[in-house]
Amino acid sequence: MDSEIALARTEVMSRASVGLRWRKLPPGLLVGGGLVVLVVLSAALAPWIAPADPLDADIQFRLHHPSWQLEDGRRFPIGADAQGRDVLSRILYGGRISLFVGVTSVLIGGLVGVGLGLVSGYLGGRWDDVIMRVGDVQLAFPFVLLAMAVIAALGPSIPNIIAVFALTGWVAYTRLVRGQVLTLRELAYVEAARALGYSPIVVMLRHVLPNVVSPILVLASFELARMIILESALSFLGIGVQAPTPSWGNMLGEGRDYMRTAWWLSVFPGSAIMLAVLGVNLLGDGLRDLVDPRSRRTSTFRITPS
Amino acid sequence: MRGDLGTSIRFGIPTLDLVFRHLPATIELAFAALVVTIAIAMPAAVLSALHPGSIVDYVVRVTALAGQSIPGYWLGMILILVFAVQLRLLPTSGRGTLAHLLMPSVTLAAYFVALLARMTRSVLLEVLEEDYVRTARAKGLAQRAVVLRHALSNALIPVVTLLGLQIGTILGGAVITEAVFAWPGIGSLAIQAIFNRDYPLVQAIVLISAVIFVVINYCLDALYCFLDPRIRLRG
Repeated sequence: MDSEIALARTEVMSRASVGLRWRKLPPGLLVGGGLVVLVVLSAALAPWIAPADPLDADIQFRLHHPSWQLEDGRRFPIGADAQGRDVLSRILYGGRISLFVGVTSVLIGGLVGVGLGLVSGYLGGRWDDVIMRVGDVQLAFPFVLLAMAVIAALGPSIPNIIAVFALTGWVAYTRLVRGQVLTLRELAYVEAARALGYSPIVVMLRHVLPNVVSPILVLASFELARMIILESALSFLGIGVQAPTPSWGNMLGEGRDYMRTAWWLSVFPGSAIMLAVLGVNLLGDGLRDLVDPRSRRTSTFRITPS
Repeated sequence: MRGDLGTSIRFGIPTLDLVFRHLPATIELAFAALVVTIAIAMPAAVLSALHPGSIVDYVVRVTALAGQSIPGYWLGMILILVFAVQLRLLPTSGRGTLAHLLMPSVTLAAYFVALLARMTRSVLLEVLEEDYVRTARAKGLAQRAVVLRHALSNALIPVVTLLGLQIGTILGGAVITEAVFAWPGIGSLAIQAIFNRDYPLVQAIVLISAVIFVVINYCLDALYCFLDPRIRLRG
């Protein structure tokens, strides 16, 4: 009985504090979150909301300009491409590819990078030397060039793209986590956990990792933005996602050939990329303001309870 | 194993010759982009940091965020669409006059303008709170001297470090920008090499880029001594 009351009370309290927090959230975080939700939903629901099949080519409507209603019931809200495919449907389906590549490569790169960062920072010594030197070498190669070269050698398939992005993206996480762990390692509660005889793995995962999660999330959101742009850039150049699979980048690549006659092929896929990336960046910015007291000082928003 | 970087399969001449033949165009582009970046980002950051919360600050921050979110090559396409196709003011592609350089350098610079403006702004905001800035103000120095001599010069170190880490991104961005504007630098060469499966040439370009990254970062380390006399390089 008592415990039920206590439970109910904490629930009420947490709901009240959530209500308070909502109003105090910085506008950037809300706008960013809104944009991300919009992009994720439109990609997830593409099969239901897309007006047409993204691969359904009809040469009769080649480069048809944007129009809401045609005589025979077909419509191209933002135009048709060089093969008469509906641009809006292709953008919706293209979002699935872009988000999938971005999120998976951030997840894989993040897991590997965080793991190596923990090992490097916590164990130190030879582990640290090897991991950080490999990271330095990795950083010296321009990301885009390296990704292009490796994908060109392996062949441009979606798993290959994800693998290369993860492979070239881990260093940022490793450096971040290592730096944080180096200071955390000396703290009393970590020392206490170690003194109690927990294995290094348990200490790292249970006591060190939870304290590094928020900066990792912030970094991951910026990395996601970068990966989305990079995937689109490679697809734009023709060495990323291959036709006929729609991706925002390869749509722009195809649109470039018709820039003089069909502006909608260049304008709309790019706007989709920009909205998605802007949303993720705003979200990352807002998150950083929430978790990093140093940057919080410079914004108008404060999290301290009034 | 001969110690050189091999011969291009497609062109039949040593890869190093090809790389060095295309390098000046890329350096020209990167340098122009650097000039554009500093010329826009620094004044914007100073204005923004001196009046935090003002309309100028707001405009700078929103523009910078948007600038960081635009894919460079798409910005390039839109610029071509507006200034070359519609207004017919600038040439769409190629290298030659200053007019040819304008759109590619702005395209390449956009991301770094945004990055540099945001970074400099936040560092300046912190530096402006420091005691030595208050001292400079207290002894009656003009705002101009306080900002330029005392605040900005101390804010430069983290900013230069950041720029150094971005050299790789600049080279990568140059690849894509060159593709959009048919700029005859090593980026265009790299894309050609990749499509031709010209692996010796790809390897040479990637390696030379890494060497450039390391050399520029070394030069930046040396630059720290000028920016901050307290720092001494010892081998």
